[in-house]
Amino acid sequence: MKNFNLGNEPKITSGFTTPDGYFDTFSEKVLAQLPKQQPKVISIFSSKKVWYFTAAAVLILMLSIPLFTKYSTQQEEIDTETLENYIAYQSNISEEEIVNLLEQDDLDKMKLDFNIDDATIEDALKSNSNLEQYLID
Amino acid sequence: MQDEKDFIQELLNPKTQNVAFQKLLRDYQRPLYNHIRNIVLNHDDADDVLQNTFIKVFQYLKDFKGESKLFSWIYRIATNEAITFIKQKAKRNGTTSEAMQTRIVDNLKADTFFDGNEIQIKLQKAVALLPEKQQLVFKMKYYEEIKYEELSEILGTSVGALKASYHHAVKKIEDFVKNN
Repeated sequence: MKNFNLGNEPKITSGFTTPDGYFDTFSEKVLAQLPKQQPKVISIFSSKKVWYFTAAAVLILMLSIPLFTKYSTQQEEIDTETLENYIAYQSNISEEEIVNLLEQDDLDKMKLDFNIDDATIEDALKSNSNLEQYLID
Repeated sequence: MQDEKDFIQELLNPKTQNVAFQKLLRDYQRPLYNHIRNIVLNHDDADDVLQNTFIKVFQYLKDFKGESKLFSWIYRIATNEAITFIKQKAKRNGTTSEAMQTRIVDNLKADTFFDGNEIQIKLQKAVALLPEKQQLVFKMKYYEEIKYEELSEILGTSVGALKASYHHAVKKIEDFVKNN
């Protein structure tokens, strides 16, 4: 094989063979496997449907906004009684702290009018058995 | 070309589809079998790939744009199917397609559906050592005698590049045969 030249050689075939009658039955084998009818492919992303879905989504969103705000604000409001009860029984705020928080305005509101006449005071003092003790102190 | 357009219409029309596809099978089964067998080397594998090729041709015929010839389009599908097949088979066996092909060629004598002499086996061995693209070009040009222009359409490579590939392949094969 010293002077082997592919162009000068007689044609060399691949040497591959097939089983007897292979091509006689091959067509039928393929035809039997072909899909009978091509199913029509319907894309869920057809442009028309996308618009319908978008419109539906926007509508649902618009309707749900008032409902959402209604429920969320209701949750935020606590009635005064509950708040008072909480502060009175559940919290550890001392009276001093509450006093510190009071402003002049609040104090004015809390002022009481002591329009009591002298006779009433005298009566009250007379009926108080501890009066003498107070005077001594 | 008009004949080909008519033939494609017949293949797409449900009324004529069956007869037209049978004609396509008759015309293409032998050359396509040879083409696929030259790539996958083994008869059973060639049979599988050939069936898949025709099924794909049937399925994708509606997408065939007519930009290339029907012949080139079908050969392109067959080539892709065959190459994908050997790569997947090699992967399943935990080896490379080159190593797998070399092993098959080394055992060609034992293949029931191979009837070749020493020089035919030597040529197969020499071809199996070529890079993938050169193998493909050599097999299609030498064994199948496909013209460069048609090869160019099938493989999407310029005629010049194909000629260079074939020339390199022949040189390497001749060197291999001389030295072995």
